[in-house]
Amino acid sequence: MATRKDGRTAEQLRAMICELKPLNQADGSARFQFGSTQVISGVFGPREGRASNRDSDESTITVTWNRGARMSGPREKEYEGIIRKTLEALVVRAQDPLCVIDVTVQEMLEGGSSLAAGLNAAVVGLVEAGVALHSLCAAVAVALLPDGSAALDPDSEEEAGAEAVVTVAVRASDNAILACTCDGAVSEVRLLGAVQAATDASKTIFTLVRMALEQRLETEQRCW
Amino acid sequence: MAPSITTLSEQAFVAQAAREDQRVDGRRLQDHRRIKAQIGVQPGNVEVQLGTTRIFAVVSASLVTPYPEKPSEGMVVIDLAPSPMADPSYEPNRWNEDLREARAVLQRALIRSRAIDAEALCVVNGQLAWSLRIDLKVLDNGGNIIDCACLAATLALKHFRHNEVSVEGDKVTVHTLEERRPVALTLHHIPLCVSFGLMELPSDENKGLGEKLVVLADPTNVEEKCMQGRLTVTASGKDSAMLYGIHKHGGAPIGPEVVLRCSEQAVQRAMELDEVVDG
Repeated sequence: MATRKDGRTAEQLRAMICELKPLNQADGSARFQFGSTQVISGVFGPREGRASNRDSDESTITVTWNRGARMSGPREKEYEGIIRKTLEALVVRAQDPLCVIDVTVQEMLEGGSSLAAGLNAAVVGLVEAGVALHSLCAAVAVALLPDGSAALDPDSEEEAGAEAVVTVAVRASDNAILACTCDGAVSEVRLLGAVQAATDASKTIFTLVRMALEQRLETEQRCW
Repeated sequence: MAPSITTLSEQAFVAQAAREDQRVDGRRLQDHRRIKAQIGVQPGNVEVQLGTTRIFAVVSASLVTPYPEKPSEGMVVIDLAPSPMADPSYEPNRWNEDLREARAVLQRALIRSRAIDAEALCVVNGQLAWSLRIDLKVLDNGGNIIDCACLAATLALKHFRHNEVSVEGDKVTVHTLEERRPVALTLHHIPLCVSFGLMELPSDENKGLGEKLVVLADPTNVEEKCMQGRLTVTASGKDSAMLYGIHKHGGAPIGPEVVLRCSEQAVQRAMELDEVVDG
């Protein structure tokens, strides 16, 4: 398989950075980076929800997605919905009835695979905030290119030139797929291949997240 | 979303410390917090941290038709938006009074003071001009958003580049970034806001304490909730004789000597900040 423009192979992810607690005020926050794509998430909660927004059995999750310069549009609303529904499957909601967990995602640098980066940042932010989760979750995007190849973690150029971009969110405990969106037209075989590639790549992300969390625990323990 | 509440004991602690000319984080009354600025890879993307306050600035430009009453000038718009992650009381898409005031201060500092050369933004008189948009997002509210936002905006403007446009008769060509090197903005001066918190401590006959006005430079969010007023002075590092704005919207009444002292401190601070902006 030919190497990609930045020298990566088809299954190679860009250099990732996972930083915990970049923000002070938020209960939990995380910065996640896929190469030149950078996203910050801030989590407040569980906290008291407004009367209109409360559920007497479970906690409610709200997600806000902000872009750098541009105003929010349908793309942002769609991302908010995808992340919210994925987090609803992940968070132990029965633990905090009548509460609201507010997740805000801010795009700092746009370089492709934004939704995947945003979802990763949101999940790590929740862990940092101390919200109970059933399991960790990692998201990766796959670009299906016109020449038949599949490029993992595409940058903006590859996304623009792809026939379809598939973003998959994988649960750590059993490799189940929590979210899968496909932007474009693609054959069944290629779609399944992309999902499989994303599932394999998610293991790298889990390792990175666990390392970051363990490092943070170590620093916290040292402080006490 | 719960409004931020300061406890009575917190307020009493800050007031007591101020009476003894001390501050909660160990600074002296006239000390400012550390600044960390990160210039992004894309020109015009800047992240600035003042203590724990963190603001993200993005400058973007587009070609538009200039206003009919100002055919030879471009336009500049500033937007200061809160991100819900910045403060427990911020709500998305909700009108925020403090940020409205901060935005007005920034507009006067950057636009009304004519810091950006609006005529240099004009491409074809009456037909085509650049419209600049400075988007500031508050990511973390640790207090003193105005100073941090102003620094972020000026750094972003300084590092922003727009495509070069060439005009030949009737033909206007916008060159891509690969064809011609992008052009920097013309800035007449670099305005920097310096804010002071005003704490009016009441007299206490039982303890034999008189009334006292304490001025805190660069207030934190805890101090902001305990103070009774704010004074913001906009100065430029290069031109110490000129002040580009003084803002005091209500709050504790102060004498002219306080305004003078703060203005001098502001000019001093602007010269220090100038090194950050240039470096």
